[in-house]
Amino acid sequence: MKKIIAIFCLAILLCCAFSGAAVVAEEKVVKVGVGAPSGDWGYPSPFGFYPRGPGYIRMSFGFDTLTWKDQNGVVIPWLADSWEMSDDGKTWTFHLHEGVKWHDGELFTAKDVKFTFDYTKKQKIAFKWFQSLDYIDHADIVDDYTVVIYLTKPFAQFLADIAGDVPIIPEHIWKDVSDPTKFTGYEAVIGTGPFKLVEYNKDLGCYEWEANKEYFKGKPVIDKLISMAVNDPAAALTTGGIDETSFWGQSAEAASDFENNPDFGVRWGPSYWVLQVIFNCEKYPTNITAFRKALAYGIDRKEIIEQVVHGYGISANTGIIHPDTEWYKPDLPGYEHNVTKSNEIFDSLNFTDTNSNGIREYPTGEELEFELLTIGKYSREAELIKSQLKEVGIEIGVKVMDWSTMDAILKEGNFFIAINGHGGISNPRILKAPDWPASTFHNDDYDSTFTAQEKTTIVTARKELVDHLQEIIADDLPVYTLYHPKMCCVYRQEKLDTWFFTKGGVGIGIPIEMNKLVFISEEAVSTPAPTSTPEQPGFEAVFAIVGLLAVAYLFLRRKK
Amino acid sequence: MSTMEGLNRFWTAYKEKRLGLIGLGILLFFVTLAIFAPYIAPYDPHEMYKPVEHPNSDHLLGTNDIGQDILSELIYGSRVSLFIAFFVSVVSAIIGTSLGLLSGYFERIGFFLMRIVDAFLAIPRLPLIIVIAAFMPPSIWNLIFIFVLLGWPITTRIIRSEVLSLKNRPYVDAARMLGARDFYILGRHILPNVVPLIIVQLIMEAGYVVLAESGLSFLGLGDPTAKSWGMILHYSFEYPTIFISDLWMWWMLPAGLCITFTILSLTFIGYALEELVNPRLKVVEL
Repeated sequence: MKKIIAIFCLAILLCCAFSGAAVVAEEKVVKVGVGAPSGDWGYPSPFGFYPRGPGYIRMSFGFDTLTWKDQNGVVIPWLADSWEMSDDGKTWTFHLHEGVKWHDGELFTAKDVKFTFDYTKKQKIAFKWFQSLDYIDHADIVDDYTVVIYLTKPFAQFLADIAGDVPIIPEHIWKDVSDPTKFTGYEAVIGTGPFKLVEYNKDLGCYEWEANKEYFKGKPVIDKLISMAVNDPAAALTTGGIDETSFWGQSAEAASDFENNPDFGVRWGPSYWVLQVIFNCEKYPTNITAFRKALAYGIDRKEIIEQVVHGYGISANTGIIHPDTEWYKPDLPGYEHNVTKSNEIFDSLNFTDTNSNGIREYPTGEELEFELLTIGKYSREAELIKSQLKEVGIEIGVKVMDWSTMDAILKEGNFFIAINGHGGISNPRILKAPDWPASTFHNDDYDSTFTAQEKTTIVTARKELVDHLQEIIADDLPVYTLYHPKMCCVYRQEKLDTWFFTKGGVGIGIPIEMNKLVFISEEAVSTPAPTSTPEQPGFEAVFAIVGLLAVAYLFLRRKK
Repeated sequence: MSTMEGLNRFWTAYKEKRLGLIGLGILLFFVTLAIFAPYIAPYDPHEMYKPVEHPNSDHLLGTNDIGQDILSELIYGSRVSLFIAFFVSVVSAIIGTSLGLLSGYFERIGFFLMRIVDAFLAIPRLPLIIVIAAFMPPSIWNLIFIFVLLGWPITTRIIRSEVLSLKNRPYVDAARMLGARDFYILGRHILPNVVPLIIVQLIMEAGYVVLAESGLSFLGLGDPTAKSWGMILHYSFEYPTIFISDLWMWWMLPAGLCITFTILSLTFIGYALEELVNPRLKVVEL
């Protein structure tokens, strides 16, 4: 009887061993953690994501663009293999990659490209992400894999900002969709991208993608990608709840705990992000330029960087553009902390403390008090600014709100000063509204310079114009920039170690380490041939061998 | 029996309650901290030093994320929490008691007042407080306003029911027959008898307010620049490495303990008082 049991066991173990080693190759899942509550960035369809960097990134996993940017910020062929620009800079011919398939199996052709540009232009309001679609006149099909895009006027950044930004959508799905923002569901996320959306949970801020095994640039190196909101990314990373997360500003301090741990890798990059004090240029008294300057002199940026971000940030360029880019204009006035100067300006504007209570009064006699709006994340900065401005006799109340409320209030213009930040400052495009998203600033010289630089395709000439824009901002001070945070990503080495920050940011300048190239093997990008990974014997094999030995031992013992 | 006499008897009985005395002791400790904060605290809580320092001889509990001395923050924090707690409980006790007396004694007023009270009591308190706090500019006075607004109805209801039974007692009838005016009766004969109830209610309310204030601040709905225990917790929770390093031990824990002990002390006192107010004291009186 014992013998039968032993043989039975042996058989099971053998089955285990072979099936285990041969079939069960472990699924490679990478979980990206985002600090709660900001996990939700909208439905990742081209018209459904929230118009912010993380939203675009999530959408870009499912959809491709004609060109893309590599680690060094160089525009590389993507859906288009090559392209030509006409001499007047208004006509672009793209030769598309052949044999690309949509997630549903249909073939991608020039018709889809033409459709995308026509459709996006028609649905300009729905496509919140990109404002420069005015440049597109129309697109024409030459043959199945050649498409020509006609612009209304030359656009210097066309390759990166339009060809590398507008997600190409399948005509066969979208042609009947009249309200793209309401179009959600499986079909709305069918693209050509390296990942297919499996699940999106708005309340949990969770996305789950599976690899598109037929991706034309090669099968992604992971099988599943999950992006989820976690309460404490650092703790989740330590416990293995997530495999990667990023920190910036003060929270980058957490990275120092991982830097000496061999299990984790840390990579640093510029954030292309700026925190700024936004002034309402339409409302008295912040509509007075000198008044804004006096406030700027009252603010001590160095103290904020030291105390709040603990040195994980640099004093911002008052012209907004990030110093790590080619467009940066150095040596603009920084309005470094100067209490005497601030006091002098306030006095000269007749905002004096007539009743000696330590707070200045309006020339009409009312106390000079106002609210500083901010979102919870920046309440420490607000706290410091409050105490700094108190020293120059301005009383400030801090009001904290969530960012969607803040955006709405800034648009309405119902505020005096606010603290808010934005990214994209590697790209002159962001200078469209220097006090974005408040837009209370009006300056004709500025507007015409901005339009001129957009059309200028000669880099040096354009640089001069962009310099001038930065000078105007630093001079008129619609916003006073505080700091550019440093940024880093921390990842578990064994899961995936290809993370990188794209120079100049992904797309139009998103400083997120989730460029889709991270998930595609490097060789695959240069030579588009899918590679298969050899399957390794897992623990099942070891288990089976030990089992076999144990059974053999039992037999031998019985014989004795 | 005058009000003073009542309180005296009350204190004699209270002294017997050990839990009550412990509670009173803890509370006195925090009250002392609050009153003498500028003398006790080693630093100004808004002054900034090197951020996130571990406890050392300069900063006994280290410094917080922007370099403020945590011990000083805690000591000043007792001011905010206790000030709000006592201010709110006293004001709502005053409002609640006067309305309670009126509505118990004059039944017509009582009828209308009780409908308002019903409306207030029907709404769950904390969610409403959160909603109101989210829409008002965060400041201590706004918080106080919200708490008082929602705090008085309970006191009113309790006092009224007591008055309803008291006003038909023989000694009140006797006073009335001797020609005493209504307000004289209310002040002289009824108020002293509800004083113990008021004190219990006051203490309970204070405990509730300490917790609610900390909760609101913790959620980020308080004044972000105020130094309160809830705000200390709020910022410590936001700090990225709070749980994977030892920071929580001197940053988060002490603030949590302060809140816990304050509420515990108020609860102990409340228990002790309730034991006295419930039938026992009345037995002595009769």
